[in-house]
Amino acid sequence: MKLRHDCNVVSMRGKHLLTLPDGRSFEVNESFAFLWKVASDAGEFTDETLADAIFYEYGISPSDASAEAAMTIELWQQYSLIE
Amino acid sequence: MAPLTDAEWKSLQTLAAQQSVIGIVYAGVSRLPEDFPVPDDVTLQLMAEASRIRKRSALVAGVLAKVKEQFNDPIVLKGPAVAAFYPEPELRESGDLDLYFPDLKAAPTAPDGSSHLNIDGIDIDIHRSYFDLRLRPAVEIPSPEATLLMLSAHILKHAFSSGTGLRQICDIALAYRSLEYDEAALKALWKECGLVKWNNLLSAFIREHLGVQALLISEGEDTGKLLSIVLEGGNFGHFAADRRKALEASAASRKTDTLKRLLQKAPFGLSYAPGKYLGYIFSLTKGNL
Repeated sequence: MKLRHDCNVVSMRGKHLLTLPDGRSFEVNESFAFLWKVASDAGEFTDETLADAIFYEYGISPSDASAEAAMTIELWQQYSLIE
Repeated sequence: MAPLTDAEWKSLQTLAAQQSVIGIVYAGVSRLPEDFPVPDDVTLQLMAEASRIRKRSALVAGVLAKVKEQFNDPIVLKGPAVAAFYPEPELRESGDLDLYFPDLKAAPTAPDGSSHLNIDGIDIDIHRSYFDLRLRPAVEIPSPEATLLMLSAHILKHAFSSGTGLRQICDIALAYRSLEYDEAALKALWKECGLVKWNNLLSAFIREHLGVQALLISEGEDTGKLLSIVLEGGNFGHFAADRRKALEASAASRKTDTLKRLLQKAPFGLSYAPGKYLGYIFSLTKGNL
């Protein structure tokens, strides 16, 4: 999977904003911004890429990390953030 | 620095939008100490604006690259060329693309033969001259002095017609800061064009209000008159009373409005650049006869 190149997350002063190509923008939380950066830096990513990052960043169990990663990807697909 | 009230933040945002310098305000806010209070909604709005400006800059850069691929050596006036003087070029708000071709025959033309094109939604104007001045020689590669003269002449043209904003003045302030120019050569150019008084006023304004060391010939300029013009209408005077209405009306109403504003600024024009002021009135009225 790849993130859409025309969607971005910008950060300033502890705030994170997801911007969409149609000009809309949404405030997103710290963990969204973190996972976005992981996926963005990876270029191509899988469920496992995110699950590993969640596991190392938040110290939760591998199964919870996998569940979180799957939920995140489902949300990203729902909002058409993935190419 | 004392914290700003909500009303002051709103006022700052409105003013920055009118002056087309919201990207600069964003860059400034991002450099504030973490403990300096900035309302959350202001932070998010500035981030959204900065993102919009960056996207537009990328689009303009892409169109410019396409034009450069197809046509030989255009000289970019203002826009991306002056954005390069900014610490974060992509945060300078881009309008259209202004290009000058030393060999006009090499310039692209629109299907209707005009010099106004639109590529991927970006307006492109092909200029017949590098300077907004009559009787200036052609320029092959702009020197630092020519660049400074081109920028100041552009500001002047708008200052006594539709109006000028802070973005144009930031452009030349950053050009002054970035370019290594020859003071004597620049002074000689000003003199040759009859623009010494105007450039001295502009430099005094840049020093007093933006804190940049622009070339000054004599002290004691009253920058209040130029500040009034900047604050009256914002970017290209678009926010002055009734200007928007005129801009949305026919080309004839737009020209009439410009002429009206030009005449209102007669004391300013005649005082700081009489030759250029009268020449501009002449060309505008001639175009309408």
